[in-house]
Amino acid sequence: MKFYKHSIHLLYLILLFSNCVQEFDPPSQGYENLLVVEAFLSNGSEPFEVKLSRSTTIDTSAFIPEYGAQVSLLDDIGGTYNLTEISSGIYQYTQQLNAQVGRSYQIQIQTMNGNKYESEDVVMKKTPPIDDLRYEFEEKPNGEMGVQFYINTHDSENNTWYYRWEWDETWEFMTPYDSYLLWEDNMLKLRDERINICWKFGNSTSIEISTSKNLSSDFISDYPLLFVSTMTDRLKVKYSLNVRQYALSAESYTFWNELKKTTETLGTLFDPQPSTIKGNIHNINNRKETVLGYFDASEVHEQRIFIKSRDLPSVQYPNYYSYCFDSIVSGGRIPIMINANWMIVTETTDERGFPAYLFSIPSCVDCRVYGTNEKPEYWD
Amino acid sequence: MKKKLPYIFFLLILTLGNAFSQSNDFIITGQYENTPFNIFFKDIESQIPVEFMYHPKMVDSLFVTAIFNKEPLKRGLNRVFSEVKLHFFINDNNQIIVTQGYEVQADLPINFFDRSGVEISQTDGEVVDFLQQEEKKTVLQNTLENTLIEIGDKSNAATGGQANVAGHIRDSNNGEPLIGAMIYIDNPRIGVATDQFGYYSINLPKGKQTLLLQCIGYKDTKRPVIIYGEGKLDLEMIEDVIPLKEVIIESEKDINIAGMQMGVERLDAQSMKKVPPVLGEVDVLRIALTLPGVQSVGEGANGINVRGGNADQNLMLLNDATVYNPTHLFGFFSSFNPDVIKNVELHKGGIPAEFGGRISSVFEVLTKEGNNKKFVGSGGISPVTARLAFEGPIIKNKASYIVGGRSTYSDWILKQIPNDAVNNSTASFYDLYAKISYDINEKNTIYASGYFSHDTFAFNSDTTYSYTNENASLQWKHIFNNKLYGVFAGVYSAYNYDITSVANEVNAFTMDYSIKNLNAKIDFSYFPTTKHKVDFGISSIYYGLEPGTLTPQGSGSLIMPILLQNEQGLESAIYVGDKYDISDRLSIYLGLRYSYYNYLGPKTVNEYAPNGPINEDTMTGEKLFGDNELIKTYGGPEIRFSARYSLDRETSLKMSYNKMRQYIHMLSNTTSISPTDTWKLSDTYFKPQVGDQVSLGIYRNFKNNTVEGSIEGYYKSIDNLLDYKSGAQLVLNEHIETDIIGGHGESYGVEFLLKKKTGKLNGWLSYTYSKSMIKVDSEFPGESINNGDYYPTSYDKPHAFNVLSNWKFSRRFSVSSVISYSSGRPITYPIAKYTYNGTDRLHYSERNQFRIPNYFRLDLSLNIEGNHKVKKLNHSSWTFAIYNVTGRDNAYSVYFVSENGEVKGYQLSIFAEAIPTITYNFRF
Repeated sequence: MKFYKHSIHLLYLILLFSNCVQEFDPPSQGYENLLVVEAFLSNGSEPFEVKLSRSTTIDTSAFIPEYGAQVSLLDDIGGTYNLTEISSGIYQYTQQLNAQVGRSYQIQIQTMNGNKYESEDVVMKKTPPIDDLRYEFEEKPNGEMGVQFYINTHDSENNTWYYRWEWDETWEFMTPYDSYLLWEDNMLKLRDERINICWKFGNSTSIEISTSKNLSSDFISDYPLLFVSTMTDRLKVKYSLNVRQYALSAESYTFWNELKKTTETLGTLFDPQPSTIKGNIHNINNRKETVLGYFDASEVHEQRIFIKSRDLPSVQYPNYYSYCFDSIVSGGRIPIMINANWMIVTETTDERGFPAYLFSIPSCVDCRVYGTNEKPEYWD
Repeated sequence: MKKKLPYIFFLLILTLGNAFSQSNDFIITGQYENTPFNIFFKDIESQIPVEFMYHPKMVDSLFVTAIFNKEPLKRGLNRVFSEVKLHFFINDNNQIIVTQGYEVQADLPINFFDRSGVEISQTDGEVVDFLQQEEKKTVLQNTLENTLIEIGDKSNAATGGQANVAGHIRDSNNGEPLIGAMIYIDNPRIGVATDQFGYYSINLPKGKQTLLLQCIGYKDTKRPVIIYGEGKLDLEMIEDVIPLKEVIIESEKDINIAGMQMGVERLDAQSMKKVPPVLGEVDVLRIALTLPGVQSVGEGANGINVRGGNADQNLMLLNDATVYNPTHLFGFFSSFNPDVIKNVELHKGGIPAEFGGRISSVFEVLTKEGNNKKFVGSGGISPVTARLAFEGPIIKNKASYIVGGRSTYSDWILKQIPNDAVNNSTASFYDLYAKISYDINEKNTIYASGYFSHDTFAFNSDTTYSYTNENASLQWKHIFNNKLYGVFAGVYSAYNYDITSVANEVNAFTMDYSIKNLNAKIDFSYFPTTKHKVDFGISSIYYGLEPGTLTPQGSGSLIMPILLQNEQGLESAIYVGDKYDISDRLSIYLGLRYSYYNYLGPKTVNEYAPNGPINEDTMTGEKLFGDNELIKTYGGPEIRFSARYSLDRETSLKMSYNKMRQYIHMLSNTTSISPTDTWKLSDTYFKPQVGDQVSLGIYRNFKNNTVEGSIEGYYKSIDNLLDYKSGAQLVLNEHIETDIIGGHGESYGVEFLLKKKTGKLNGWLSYTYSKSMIKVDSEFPGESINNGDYYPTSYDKPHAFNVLSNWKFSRRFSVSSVISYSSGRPITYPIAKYTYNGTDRLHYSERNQFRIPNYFRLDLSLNIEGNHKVKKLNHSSWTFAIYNVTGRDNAYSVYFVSENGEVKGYQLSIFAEAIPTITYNFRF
């Protein structure tokens, strides 16, 4: 609820006061090795995927996949869909799967060591479309400026109440040098692609959920989804945000909400104590074994939005290339420079007027160092 | 009791008109040449029926040379005494009290009920040095200690049988009744302590006796009395402002050995002022935390945990009125203004039958009655707060008032922080306290008091939190006779909070919560014989709760109003308790309280499938109850028992057992009391919490009773202790019973205390080992916590060690310190990490299986008194204090957050640095 959030702000304030939060490396105590199941079924175009892994101690950062398991999806009309392991711990149903709203599904897992797990039956929920994905250029209380994205949606049948969103972002960026030459097979060639305009991608890692349960009708008004700061270069050229909206059941909302509360919003004086989060997957033979994760199914609706830098007030963006420099060398020295891992930008003349070449270091020339120069199909 | 000549004695026996005229008629005749004064006195005594009262030392080198020829006594004495700078005073028993250096005056005519004793006359404008003042007190004391007081009708034989003496013991300076002052005789050993009104009633053998008086913070004194029959004796004691010497021999400071009570801690205003302040404020709750068996979950946590009990299990009383939120500014200050507090009593065990309704402790704050002799004031200014209190007589010696208030400028501090969000925030609190005491006549006294405290916190100017405590009480004390008095009281308490947010038009809301109670009670104290003290009474508390409303703010708000149903309850009790001194060595207290609780309509109560778990899925329907219809009734007897057996003059054993029932509960699944915590009445699903405690202790005094030591052990069992299901929603929940589970609590511990109350170096040292556990077991899945095993409560801190010391190294300078060490409190700790939804997540252990680091803190303060000029406009003192001198960042909690896909651990400390403050305190 809203006031809950504010009590967090309140505490930030008190903390500011006393300057008393310190980062520390928590020691590992009482480690439990548990199966983690990430499984979400939607009717979207992407194949159905189940990710299996094991928990680690809290002071390590390794991802331990659970490989060699047999994973299948069952529906309520007798269909069984077996998934194949496409990479370690990642299981996919590679064919077309026409998941349908209103139908109920279950996943079953048998791990290599013979343990059998299954989820509760889950009915795929109907999701209303996103009404409006909009943004405002805002200044935050701490003085940071940027674009705040808001989501508006409603269900005129008053039947959804719980929502979850995922987003992915794409932004265009450019290197300061536009190279059209290439040194290949000991000779200069023209490049057949531009390597100074690239795209980078990001996706949501935080849990974005909301409920209209406290309102008289099923409306979500201006849910603040994401803030993109001008302290990054994301808005410098062109930016795009794509949002996927899912309906949640009350139970899955509880799961996500608890997961969010225990892993994202702790740390105030008034926080509730964290606790074990109960998912809907269990070991068939040992109900007491904790299995992390929740299998859920929901219809998806997407909306994409673009922002060009000229749509925004003009602000100073950080220049990530201020360190860049170049060097002009004669043609004979090209192999030496290439060996030293420099890149040719263009032909030029030296200070005496002889033909020469402009060189710079790869990160200032080749945007592929940080992103991809393959234009996404949705980019115009 | 003889009505025709009731005796009212105070510091001295006051002069009655007829007696005075008698002494005026005396004529003396005689011729003296260098006659020693003692011979002169004897000679006069042989002529006329007078008796000289004097200290032999005073006159041992003085001689009289004078001739009296049928001269009136007074004129003659004046002549002789003025030469040698002696003064005298004749009382109505024709005793002539001789004093040196100052005069004893009896302002005549003195009202019959006048409680002023003797006044020390001072020439206006004269600057009297403090020392001289102290000397005067000593001399006055000596005089009083040698003045025989007659009690009862003289026509009775002063031998054989017993007679009752009753009255009040007060501070000689301001007329405040003294609580817990001991009055006793040595042979046979008979003694009583004054109660909360400073009243005592004692049966003494007739004849000549020496009454011994002692009270913490006051000079020990004695009064020779001759008891003819039943009578009243009001006494005054002199404050031991600054012990001039290491207290000579206080052979009788053995209250804790002879006293009945165990598990009780008494703090007076004076000793509280010696403790280093936090953010410039002397804080009762913080001092209480240095006592054995009293803990908190951390700094900024509000409320205390007594003997492994939850914070809601303490009955916080301010003059009989319940204080629901005892702190300001989210727990950084307690709600009690130190300037109006007289005394604080904390009962941890052996709780008398007159108290009930909470199962862990009674924290009783008693306020001053106000100075009934002269107008005085006090106050203080620190960087964060300012406070002011003044008191004085309305009708001299009969009616007095005290008014005190506090406020903060922390708002100002917020404005100093260069951050927009903070700048746009405001935080403020204030509290006001007022009390009037009126002695209508010798039998009737009325007290009226009111308390109001308010906190507001506005975050970034769009969300406002505020909460308010309101208390009022009216007490009428009626003395039926020496042996029986009753207090009739009507008390009102209320607490409410609201949160308003207008940050988003669509979601703009106001949320309100309120609880109020009305309490009517009658308490009698009956002293049938000296061996018995009987208390009995009845009490009834009406509770009215508005457990929560959510209201949309503005026309654009889509917030659906929520109006939780109001709740009503009636908690009644009847009790009787008798303290019986079976012999010199053994005394017992047996109390029985019967409490009875009704949960009343109108209300729609959710119904659940019988014999199943209580959750939303098992809800079967609703049942409607009409106005004042009984929904649920609970009740039962509560036995209170304690016993004391003295092994010798310096050692005693005590034991106690008590059962308590609690019908109102605070819901909070956070680790501290927060402003959004709600109180909930027992209903169909919330059963009353029932606590049983046994404790056993050994008390021993050392070094002529100047050092007190005690070891107390306790075991406590609590039924229906509340805990919460994971992710419980406590605010605005229309079926709160589905989120709560009742468990069984168990706690035990041993407390060691060593206390030195007097001398240049005083203070105490305490160590407590304790455990506090809870078990939540149910046959239904999801309703057990930690598989139904016992687990530590979130306030379980096994080791606690505290030293509070105060060293007065000169008359004006004193240094005090607090050392506090305790085990870290339990937390639920992450035991595994996993990746989910693209982010590292943590999997937490079962509840409270790990602990935060241990707690250590050292506070120091230097107190500088202004100079001791009596006539100076105001007496001031400066306190320089450093809280957390070592700057240790004691963890309040540790927590873990997923940030950008990574898990980070943070440790939150409230005061991570040494915090210096300066406070200027003044009295005028």
